[in-house]
Amino acid sequence: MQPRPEFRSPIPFPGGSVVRSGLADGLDTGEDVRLIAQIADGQTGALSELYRRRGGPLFRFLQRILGEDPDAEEILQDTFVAIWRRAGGYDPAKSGPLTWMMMIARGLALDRLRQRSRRLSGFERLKAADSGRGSGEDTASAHLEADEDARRLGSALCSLPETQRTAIEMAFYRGCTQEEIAQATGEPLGTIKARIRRGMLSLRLRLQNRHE
Amino acid sequence: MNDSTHRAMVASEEQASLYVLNLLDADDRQLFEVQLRRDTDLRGMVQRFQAGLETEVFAEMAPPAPARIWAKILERTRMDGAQVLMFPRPFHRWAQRLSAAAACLILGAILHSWWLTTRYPPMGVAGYPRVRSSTRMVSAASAVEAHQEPVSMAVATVPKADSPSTNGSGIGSNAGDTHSDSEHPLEAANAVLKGKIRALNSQLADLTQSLNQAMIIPSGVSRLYVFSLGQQEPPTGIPSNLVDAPGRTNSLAESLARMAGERMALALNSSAGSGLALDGASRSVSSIVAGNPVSSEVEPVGKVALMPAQPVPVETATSGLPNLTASTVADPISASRSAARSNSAGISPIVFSAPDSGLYAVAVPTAPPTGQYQLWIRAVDGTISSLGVLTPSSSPVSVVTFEHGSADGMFMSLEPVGGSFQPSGPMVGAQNPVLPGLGRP
Repeated sequence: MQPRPEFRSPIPFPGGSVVRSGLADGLDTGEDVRLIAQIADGQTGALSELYRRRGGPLFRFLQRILGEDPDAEEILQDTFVAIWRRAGGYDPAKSGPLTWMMMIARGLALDRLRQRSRRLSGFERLKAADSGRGSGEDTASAHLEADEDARRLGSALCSLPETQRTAIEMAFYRGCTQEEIAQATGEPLGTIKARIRRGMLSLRLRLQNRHE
Repeated sequence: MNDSTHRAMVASEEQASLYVLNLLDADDRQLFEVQLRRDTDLRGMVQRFQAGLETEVFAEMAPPAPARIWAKILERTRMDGAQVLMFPRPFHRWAQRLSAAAACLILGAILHSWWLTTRYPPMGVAGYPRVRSSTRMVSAASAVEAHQEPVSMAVATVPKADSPSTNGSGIGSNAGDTHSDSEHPLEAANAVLKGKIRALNSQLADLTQSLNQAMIIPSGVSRLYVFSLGQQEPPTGIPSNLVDAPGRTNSLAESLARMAGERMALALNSSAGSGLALDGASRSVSSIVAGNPVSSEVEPVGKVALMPAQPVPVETATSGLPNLTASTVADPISASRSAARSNSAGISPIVFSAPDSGLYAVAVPTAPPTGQYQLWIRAVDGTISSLGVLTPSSSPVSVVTFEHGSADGMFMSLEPVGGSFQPSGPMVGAQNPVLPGLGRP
């Protein structure tokens, strides 16, 4: 069990104005590492500050995965509770703090997506088939909606070529495996791997360009 | 860069990108992580890809996450530290010790009897009384749960001096005894032995009674919670639902806040009939104690929910407080609250009570430097019995709830580690009415 916290001070709600996550603040992770270390010491004040800094972007990220649904709120709760519990095991040498938090949130959200799909596997799928809406149609519609959401939310992936973006989105936001992406897009597995690689390189370059 | 190098680079980038997106299967992932530990360039590549994904999530403007989610997160992290500890029952150990002492006494008596028999053989000296050993069953079933089986004890008994001897050669039948009025050595030995046996029987009776009394835990005790209140800091405010009039707090809130120096997250869970309204936060605490998210059953006696010290924000503290109002709780508390004088260790525990509501609260600012706090309950018939010792904890507040009418007082004393059989240290208590000599407000 992680060491329990000492009392610091009453914690105000970490609200405030819109969080500008520009490069000056948004991707400056030194403060995040320090906060996670303090959380590992049991300081909920640090958790409050981390929520102020990263709660908004993570919530938006979860909404990208789960839609604007109560599930997103619930998973955001679960994410910060998981951060609280796992902070002691965070190793900055293994991954950056943002990646660490992002992957916690993503894992929880994808679990919820899988639960949803299991719930839909019975009557509702049959109902959808009866109403003449094929699964491909559903997928296309969902993709269009996701694209719209991505543009509205200023997704970095929007700057990528369509084929790369689709592959990365399906992997990152939908939790699809390489095989599932290949099957859904009708492309060979090698092509999918290449697209993902090029897409990731493009994202990296985009980050470098923003730094310069 | 030649072709092979380029191909290796592409393969590495491909693997790294799949790894970052969690697309590698378990075996490939394991192999890749082994390689990652050895290859610093590969680690750098992975970190750059991760940073690329971070831009997707964190680099753009985002509205702050809703306040209601933050409140729920805090509530969950506050509850996260709760753990259920077993409430120690020192009398188990005492019962064992007392049983061992009784067994030693009995063994001593048997050995003494045997020694007398060998020294003064019954058939060797005519007219001397014969010491007879018998075995009888002494049931301690009603004593303690742990000693419910009948205990077979060898008890030495001696015929009464004025009764006929069982072998016909007793003192009274000693026709040739010319020293009936003088003090014969055997008579003295017999008297000593009888005295010892009487004392032994008396001790056994006391032991049985004491064990019976010691293990009485009133059936009305439903729960005992220990809540940490944090460090000693000046109070910065009292939650609004503990204020019974504008600018005036009720006595429980005021006293506890003064004691602990901080607003508290005091969650109560009372059994039926206590009359205390509960809110959602207190129910969630009880569910942690019960280990079952939906359980609302009364917990067995002897469990302590320990909430480690944790900062309690205003919102959480307010939502976690019971609905104490002046009309139902504040006045009885005010009437019967009592505080101890500081003892030698500089400890000033306070016991609050609201007997009409079945609520007793113990505020202990610091853990004792030596010994342990022991709780005592006074039943309606005046019997004082132990509830056990408080496990070491910093700045706890204990809340004990009883069913209405099952107890009329609770006390706390500082005792040696493990507890005492009877209160021996300075006591602080609360009851209705306050007993003399136990500390008054």
